[in-house]
Amino acid sequence: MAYYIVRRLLIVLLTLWVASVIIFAMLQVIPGDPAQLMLGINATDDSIAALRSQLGLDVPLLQRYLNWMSGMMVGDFGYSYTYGAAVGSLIAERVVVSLPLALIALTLSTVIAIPVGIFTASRRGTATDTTAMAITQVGIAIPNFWFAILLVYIFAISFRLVPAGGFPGWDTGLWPALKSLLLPAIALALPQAAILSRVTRSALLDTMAEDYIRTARAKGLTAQHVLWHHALRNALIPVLTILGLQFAFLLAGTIIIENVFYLPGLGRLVFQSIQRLDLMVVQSVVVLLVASVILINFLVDLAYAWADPRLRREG
Amino acid sequence: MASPLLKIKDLSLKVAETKILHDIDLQVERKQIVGIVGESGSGKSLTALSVMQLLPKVCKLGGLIEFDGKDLLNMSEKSMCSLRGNEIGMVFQEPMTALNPVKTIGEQISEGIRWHTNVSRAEAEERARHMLDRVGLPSSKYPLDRYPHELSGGQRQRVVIAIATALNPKLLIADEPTTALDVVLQAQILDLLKELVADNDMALILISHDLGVVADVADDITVMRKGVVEETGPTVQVLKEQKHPYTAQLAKASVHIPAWQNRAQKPAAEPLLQINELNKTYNGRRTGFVSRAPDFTAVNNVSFSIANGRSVGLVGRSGCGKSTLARMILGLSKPTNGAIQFDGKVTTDLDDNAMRASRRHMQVVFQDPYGSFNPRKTVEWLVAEPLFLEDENLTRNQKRERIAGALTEVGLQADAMKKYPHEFSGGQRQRIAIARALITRPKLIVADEPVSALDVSIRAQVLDLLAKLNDDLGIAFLFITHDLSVARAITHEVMVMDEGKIVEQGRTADILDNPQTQAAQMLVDATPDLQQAIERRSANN
Repeated sequence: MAYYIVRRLLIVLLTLWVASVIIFAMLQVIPGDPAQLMLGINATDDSIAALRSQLGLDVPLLQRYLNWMSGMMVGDFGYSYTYGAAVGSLIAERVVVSLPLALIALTLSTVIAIPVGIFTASRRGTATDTTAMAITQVGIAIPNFWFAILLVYIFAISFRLVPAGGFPGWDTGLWPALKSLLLPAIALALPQAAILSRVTRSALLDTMAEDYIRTARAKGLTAQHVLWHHALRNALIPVLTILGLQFAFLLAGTIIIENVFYLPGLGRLVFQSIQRLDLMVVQSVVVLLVASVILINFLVDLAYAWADPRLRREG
Repeated sequence: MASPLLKIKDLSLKVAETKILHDIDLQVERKQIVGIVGESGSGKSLTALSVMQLLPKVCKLGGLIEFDGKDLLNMSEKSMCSLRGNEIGMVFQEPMTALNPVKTIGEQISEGIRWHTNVSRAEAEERARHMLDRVGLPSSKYPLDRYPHELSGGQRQRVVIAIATALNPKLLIADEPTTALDVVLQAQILDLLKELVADNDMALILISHDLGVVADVADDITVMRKGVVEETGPTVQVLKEQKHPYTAQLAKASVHIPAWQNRAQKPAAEPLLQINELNKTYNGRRTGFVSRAPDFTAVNNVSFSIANGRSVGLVGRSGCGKSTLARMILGLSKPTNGAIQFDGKVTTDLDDNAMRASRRHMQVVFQDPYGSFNPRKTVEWLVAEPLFLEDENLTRNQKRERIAGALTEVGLQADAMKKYPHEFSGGQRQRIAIARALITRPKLIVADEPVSALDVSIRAQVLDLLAKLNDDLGIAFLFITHDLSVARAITHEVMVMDEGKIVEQGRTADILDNPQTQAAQMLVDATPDLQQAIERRSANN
């Protein structure tokens, strides 16, 4: 088991490193010189050169990569001239919005999807099952930004239960802050929950057709007991896989949703920085997003080993 | 006279409007062993599942099933649950998938005990340990916290038997309990079942496709075909007299030996396949950061040769290395060291491209006629597949001719090429697999358990076909099998493999009639023999 974890961790580090190289390289080939862009077309060559050296753009590529990496190791993400602030503090400000948003959405989608999946699987072929599956079909088809606008219209504008957008900050208290994250989290979570509940349902149904389920039934256990105690843990393995994959889509979704709700999160930060060609910010935020996807998938790997003893012994 | 333990009367089973079981009658007395024999589709498993009330919902039952005075068909699901596992236990065919992979064997055995008896966890585990001892898995070596994947197929079947008999049921139903196991394990498991039944006054329904298995064990026998009971009666009488034509047909097919002229032919001087000191070693799996389990030698210093036109059997228990050896011969896996020479060329040094000519002359037929075809391709495409190994490019018409020829050779119509694999029965599919092997006019066919998934009557036909191909086309065969009756029916020579080594080889009759090594002895002794079983049983009566 220890070997399994260490091996996964090494893979995590390797993936992170490869990702950082790819991100760095991609931003190098984007056309346009950031210094030129920041200073405008009337800037003199001298002032551009000065800014280039301040930004660290005048040293060789490899050196730039190493500087960036060694900086990040000690928490120095560089300086953003377009924002006039350290990238680290920019990110820190935004993370406190985006991270809770992603976690609430992920929790919400799991908490909705798994019970729905279990419920429909245990009532396969009934009207309840058919209706629930039809609803999830719709949930998958609806784009989340449109759904977000609909939610705003109903809950923020018609009923005035929650704010339509913006983020008051955590210092205004837990509830006001949570309230402003609620609609975006639901908008992110529901389409994911729709997919996840279908996966849970079909994984459970597949598992219920396995031989060992028949063995368990032959012991005299009731169908419900077998579903909960024998099928569920086996069915969780494909569910975990999808959950890990969905997290990446969830992060991509936050970019759109944060723009719909005017949330000052990482998604908006990266979106604006790309427009302004603020490479320092883009690089760092993207690395952070990649790292969080890799981390979640590491956790999924650990969950696999918890769910399936066969994985524990192998490397 | 006391009422029987289980009484099935006029049992019928319908799916939609199709009747699958027709008026089944069956009686099991207390402590009696009843064998149900039939080929696939005979309804023997469905009958068993009807007793357990574990059929899919689409099945509609009619008639009467009375167990210990209780009417099972009109029983509530709740009462059925308290009966299952407690008074009726069941053992299934496929031990590799019959246990939940994420639960320990201790949990799985004690679960049923706790469900029915309300004893404490500790007591249930104590009883589980006792059951494991009883089925031959001593708890010192097989603690309760083992997971199924840490056990072999035979060991898993013992765990399933422990689950089924943990509460000392009045009736045990065993549905093909040994079909997936090799003959030595089969004999052990059958002995275990007999012991358990005798010690605990259980009745046993033993379902099998193999008359030899049932003949040895059952007091009464019921022969089924296509959802109908063809014959029922005391085992010795039914099998000795073979009054019913279908029983006679089954018995004849299960000991079938094809008419085969090639038997006495002398081996040619030049070997077609020559294996020299072949080894295959797998690295032990990691057990920690630096530690590894010891390396595993699957094939250990094996040498032999096959002459043109000879049919050679490779027999051994499961896990003895015979399939690994076959894979190396076919070039599907690289030997650790040693040489394989085929048709004058050392194939072990060749790359894939250079292997083409050798591959053309060496084809394969696998065990499972269901899994070895892509279901989305027509038979024409499937059979034509090896033709890419030919040097010349064939025109469409030439290809068609070759396909039609191959299909005719295996006894199918040429227009079968238009159809898809699912339109054929298991036996027909195995013929298609053979046609696919034949199409490149090979000199050697490696056949890995080619008939063990087939019903006996179909098996007899396929054996006839293989014998004919050997006679007519002079194709050499390497038959990999754990079934000595196949080896006896259709090989000139036989090699016995045990723990990676070939421990005995020679003329088939010599080896099988007079085995020298312990490994060969065990195989011969464990192979069910219908004739001997009948003689033994009638002598005892």
